[in-house]
Amino acid sequence: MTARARSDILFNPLRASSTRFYLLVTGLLAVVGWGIYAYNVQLTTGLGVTGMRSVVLWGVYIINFVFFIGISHVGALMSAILRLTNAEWRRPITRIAEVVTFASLIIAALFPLIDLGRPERLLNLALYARLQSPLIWDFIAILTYFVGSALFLYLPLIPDIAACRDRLDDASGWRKRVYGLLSLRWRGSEYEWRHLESAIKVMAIIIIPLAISVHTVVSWDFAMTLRTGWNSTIFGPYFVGGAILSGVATVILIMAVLRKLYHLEAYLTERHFDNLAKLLLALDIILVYLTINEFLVPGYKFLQQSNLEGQWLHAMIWGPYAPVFWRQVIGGLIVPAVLIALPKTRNIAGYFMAALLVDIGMWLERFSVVVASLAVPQLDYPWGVYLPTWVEFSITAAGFAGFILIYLAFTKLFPIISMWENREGQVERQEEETAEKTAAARAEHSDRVSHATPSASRRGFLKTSATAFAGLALGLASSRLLSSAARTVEEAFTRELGEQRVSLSVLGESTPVESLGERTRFFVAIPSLLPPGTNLKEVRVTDGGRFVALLYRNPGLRPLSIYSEEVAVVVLQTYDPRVDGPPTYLPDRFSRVEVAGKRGFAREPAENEVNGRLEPGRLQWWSGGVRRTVLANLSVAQLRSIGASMEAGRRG
Amino acid sequence: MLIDQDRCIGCRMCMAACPYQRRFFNWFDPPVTEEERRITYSVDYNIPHRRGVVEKCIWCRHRVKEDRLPACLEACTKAGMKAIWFGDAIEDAVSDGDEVVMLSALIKGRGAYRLKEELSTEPRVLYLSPRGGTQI
Repeated sequence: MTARARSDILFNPLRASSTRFYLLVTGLLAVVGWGIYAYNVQLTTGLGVTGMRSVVLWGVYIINFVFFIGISHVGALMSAILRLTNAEWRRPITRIAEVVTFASLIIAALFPLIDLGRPERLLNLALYARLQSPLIWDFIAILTYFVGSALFLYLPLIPDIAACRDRLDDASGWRKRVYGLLSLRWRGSEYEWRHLESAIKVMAIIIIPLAISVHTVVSWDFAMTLRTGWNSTIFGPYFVGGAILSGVATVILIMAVLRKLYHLEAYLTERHFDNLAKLLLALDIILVYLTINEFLVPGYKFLQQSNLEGQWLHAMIWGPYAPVFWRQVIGGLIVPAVLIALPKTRNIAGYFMAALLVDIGMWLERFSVVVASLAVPQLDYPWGVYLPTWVEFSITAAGFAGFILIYLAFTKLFPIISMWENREGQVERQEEETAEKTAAARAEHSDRVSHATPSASRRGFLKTSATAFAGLALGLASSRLLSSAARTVEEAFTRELGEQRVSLSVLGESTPVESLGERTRFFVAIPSLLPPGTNLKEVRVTDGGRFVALLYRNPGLRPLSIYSEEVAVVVLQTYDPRVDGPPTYLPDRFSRVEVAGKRGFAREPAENEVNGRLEPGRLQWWSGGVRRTVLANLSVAQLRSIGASMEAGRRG
Repeated sequence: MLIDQDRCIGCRMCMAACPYQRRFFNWFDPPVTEEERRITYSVDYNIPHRRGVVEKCIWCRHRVKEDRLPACLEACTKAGMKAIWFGDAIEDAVSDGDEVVMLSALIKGRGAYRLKEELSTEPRVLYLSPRGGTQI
């Protein structure tokens, strides 16, 4: 294959796109459109449409932010280090990595904005900035990093843009203008080359500390607080290590896809995948080492203790977050390492699988870092519960689709493989110095693309814009349609059962009894992420039986204390006799009673029991039942009768 | 510690940083009465409440400015419980609405303590040990 034919492969994606490509773009735009709809729901209703609440106050958005900042590291670190060490094999892959940085930083910067309660006040961050806040460090670091990595991507791109300008004769008008503007009148003189190469070298040196500092500052957002689970001195390296790992994994994924999509087998050879997989394995082992440090040290000291660190570690290693934690450690670190190490899976498919597992694992790792630590009650409060909602999932999907779209758009505008940096590219540059050859090449070139007339390029533009509109419209329409369909189905079921459904999911969430029908069912969002032993739940009928409130109960807590004249009169509490046994704090003056068909214990506390945390003159029931079922079976009539007997108790 | 409800961007960084978890975010539009709507907002006052910002107890700063005690304290004393005291640490005086005592004497006599002393956050909320009786 001649050098020119080889480099033509790189121009092909810039010339025409297949129908399949347009379909892919339409699908991705539909996902983005759906995400915009979900964000609109969040804007108009409030952040309450997410699963976040006052205990677990950050969720998927912040996880995505950390994840995308993480994968952005690869461009800077991998391509800069490989450039500085003159690793020859890096030539075709540096730009692939640098575009990952560029695209993921755009998406990463969006997620904190989506997470804001008041996005319209974003400017306050700059107007009233205080240098004491890690958030400002973040803001400055990411902005600097974005400018730096955009430059680092742009500088080596200039000669290639000039090549596009000179060789893509059939490009449409706007394309030509873009190439003309961005190529900065590059002529390829010796003077220009000298300066470009030294500029790239300087940027490569600057970008490394910049990238490390950015993710370290992101880790400080967490580590600088007085929170359990974030009290770590190695959070900076732990985050940076995970960042480069997930970044390299992302580059492997993208390389494999681009290789197939644009037929780049001549450029992206097995050797590149082998080398990157070795890099991935090394980074994987570093992260295993950091994870051992992060958990073995506090685990040795605190795991058996009942302090906050001990509770957090317990929840991570055996408790409700164990599935996430072990899935990340085994599925995201150990299995990929084995896949790369075994000779049988040492091929592109095996590397692809390993990289995919690493990326999923790293997302899960961020999940446990953000959510598990926030869920630990800092005082005698119940554990936090966090389950992402459809809004969060939709916006997350839109973020990933947006990342792919930015990437695809780049590959359609500029050659994704640095042409001049490949040796062939440099040989070709020398060839082109002879004018005859250029002319001959031009002729050959125009032969090859003679079918591309100006009207064809206009058709291409129309096709692109039609695709964009169709995709966005499809996303918006289908989300509207599906959500209204879901609502209709739900309403039909409710009508059929003659039931009203009330779900209580948050600590202290209440609903007025008057608004309930006779056949209301209470749905308790069963927290799958509750700490071990927290299977006690309470429904609290408050304010003379007019409100129903749900409370999760932490067994470490004392029974609820009710002091005010206006609040709770009856406390219904359930426990699972198979797991908990009878409540250990049950005072001996309790007698067995039956309330609303539920057997339990009740007593009239003595007048002098204010300090005993029981209220004088109020009746309290402890109702035994099987875990997780009692609340859903309580009818409104039963609740009203409880309220009435409470009222009687109060008067009597 | 006051939060300017007109300036808060709702990032919830302060909530994540609070080791006492006593800051709260308005996830939805909070209920606002007609009376509250008529009040002009000042940083001394959390109301009218609005969606998307962080709030915390501000010890009824608007009342304290008018030489009144916080509402929770007033309600507690009216109910005859007298469980809450409020005052000035520099002047060493706290009141429960009925009487005024020296803060230092109260701390000593009633064994007052602060939560999470080990974090050096110097909280201004002290808890009094229970008077007699047993704890369950």
